[in-house]
Amino acid sequence: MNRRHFLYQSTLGGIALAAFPSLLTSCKKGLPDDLKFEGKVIIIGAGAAGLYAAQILLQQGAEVIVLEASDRIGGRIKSTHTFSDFPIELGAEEVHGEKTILHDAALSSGASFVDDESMDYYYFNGSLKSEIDATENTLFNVMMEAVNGIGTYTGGDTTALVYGDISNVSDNVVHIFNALIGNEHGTDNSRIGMYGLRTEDERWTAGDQNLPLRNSTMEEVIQFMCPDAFGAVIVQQIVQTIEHKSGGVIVTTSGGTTYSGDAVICAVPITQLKNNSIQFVPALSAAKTAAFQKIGMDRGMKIILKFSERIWPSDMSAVYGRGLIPIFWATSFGRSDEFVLTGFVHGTNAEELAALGEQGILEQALDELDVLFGEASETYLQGLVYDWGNEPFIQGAYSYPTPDMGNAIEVLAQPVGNRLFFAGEASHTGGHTSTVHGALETGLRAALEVIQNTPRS
Amino acid sequence: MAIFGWMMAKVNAQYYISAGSSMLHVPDWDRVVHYYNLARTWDEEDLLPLQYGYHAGGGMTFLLMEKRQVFFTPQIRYTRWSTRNPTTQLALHHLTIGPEIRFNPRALLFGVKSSGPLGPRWYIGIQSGLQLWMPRIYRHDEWIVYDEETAYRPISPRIDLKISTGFHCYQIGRWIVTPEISAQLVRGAELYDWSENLLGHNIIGMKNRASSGWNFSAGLIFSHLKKSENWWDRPRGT
Repeated sequence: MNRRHFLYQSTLGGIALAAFPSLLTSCKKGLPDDLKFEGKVIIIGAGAAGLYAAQILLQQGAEVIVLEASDRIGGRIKSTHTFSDFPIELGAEEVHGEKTILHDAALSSGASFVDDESMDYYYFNGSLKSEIDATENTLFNVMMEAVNGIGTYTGGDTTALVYGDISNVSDNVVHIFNALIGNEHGTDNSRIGMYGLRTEDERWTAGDQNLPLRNSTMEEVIQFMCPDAFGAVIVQQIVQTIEHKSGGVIVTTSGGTTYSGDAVICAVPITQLKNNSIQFVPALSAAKTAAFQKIGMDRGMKIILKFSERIWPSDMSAVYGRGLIPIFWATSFGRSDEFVLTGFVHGTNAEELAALGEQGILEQALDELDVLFGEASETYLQGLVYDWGNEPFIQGAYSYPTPDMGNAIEVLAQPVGNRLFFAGEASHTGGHTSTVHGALETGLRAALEVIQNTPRS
Repeated sequence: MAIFGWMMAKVNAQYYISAGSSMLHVPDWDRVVHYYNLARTWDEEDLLPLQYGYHAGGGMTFLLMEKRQVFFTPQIRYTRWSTRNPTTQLALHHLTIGPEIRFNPRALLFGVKSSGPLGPRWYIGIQSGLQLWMPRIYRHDEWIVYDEETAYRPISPRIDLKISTGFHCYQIGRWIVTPEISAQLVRGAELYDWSENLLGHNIIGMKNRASSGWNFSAGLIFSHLKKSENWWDRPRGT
């Protein structure tokens, strides 16, 4: 080879080197073999966690069956298309944070979010105040400092109620304090633990935005994420026992049907584990069952009300009142010309309301809205109460940390051997419990645990 | 330019520019992308790991030991790797600054005996320099903003090792063309908050620090020979 020939070939080589990255990056490439799994997996619970775990495992080559106790798919994700001219979420409603799988999936599905300019309103000292006016009040600011100070809390693992006292939160605004902490987390301040709240605050990585879907529903986003998983669901399969042994797993339903597989993912709400709805053979450790009891999950309900005209400020996204219903938000804001509010209530207030019955709850809601805005009863058209405490296989809204909960979430999330795995929002160890994206992430985690740990049959 | 020219005259260096392709092989970072693909059940097209990129740089060559053909070449090189699928684009920026020692192994061991241009025909280079790493993530055409508290520190500095070899194969006017290949150790480099932001969660598969890896490069170097005080063309072994 002479010098000229060498130079010619070098030049060609250089051009090829420069070009091949763009050629290769346009190809589709499969995942490594160690992320494949060709075994059989049984998933208990067709909520977000179970469906997502099923979809991932199906895509990685597994045979998957999803057993759902109720007659519908979706768990705590449910919407109604008949109440108004736009779909209304009866369960999970907002995408919490812009840096999550759920946010990514929603945008990929073509969904958009309601992010119009709006503000919150607060009722205290006998009048309604915008968030701008409220910040001129010292008592309000002291309360907000306490809310924002959860991440740096250094006292004992007490309740948020005690924390409020320590932080000098005034009785005039304590109802807002309860709405922002306890009710927001699925309970009330008398039951929620400060260490758990602080841990969530420290570990939260999803971003600060709470984004309602504008033109689609949470159910549609989950369907977009898990199209194959829906086909793997068998409804009305109430699981009674899970046998998990070295040779495999056997799941038996109340109807006597048995399903065998290589692994089982238990993705049921924490209430179903707390009340021993499922018998495990061999029995779970005392530490595991104790962990179930340390994680809270209370009754929670949505009260949806439609009015003939808007009685609240046009820029209002939410209002914090002083009654049994800590917060109402403008569900139709940015989505419809109809006028719909949603009340959101958990814990002891929800228990008190449940005793009133549906009509009583609606009357209570209207009474409270009359105090806030006036004319609520006069402009009221129709209402709907959806009480998740009445769902027999859910029995509550979402999990929350109790005082002295310790590492209960980590214990719950821990697999038992290499055949039994746990998923569901309550088992999120990274600070994202009680969210849809948190549930999805535990489904991902459990699917990966199966892939990495379960022996192939 | 005048200052640069004056400096070049003072230090009696030959300057050069370079460009080429780079292939990154960091298993820890590749794994994060695999977990990303595992979780994006709806994506029809996988995101490829950050592997293929381009580099460009420049430096100066100083004659250090004429008899042994040892050269001192401070250099700077910028590399950008990128990968994308329809929803996400990853970019990784990398800057290496540091001195390289180039030598002709035969001349180093046995001394220069033959005549010919002093510029080394074949050389091996060893560099230990400062590496700066900076990742960027775009999703749905928006740059994912890093945590405000850590926004100032996505640049990760590391001191690492690079070994290279090249062959001065052709001269065009006053430019020497040199194909060069190199392997640069990637050890301990950290892409702050990268995996959390890429994966969109903090529960599995997070790995920002590279326990080990390599950056393989191939490219061309164009060395410019000065008209005056040009030691490159000076016969060697004299």
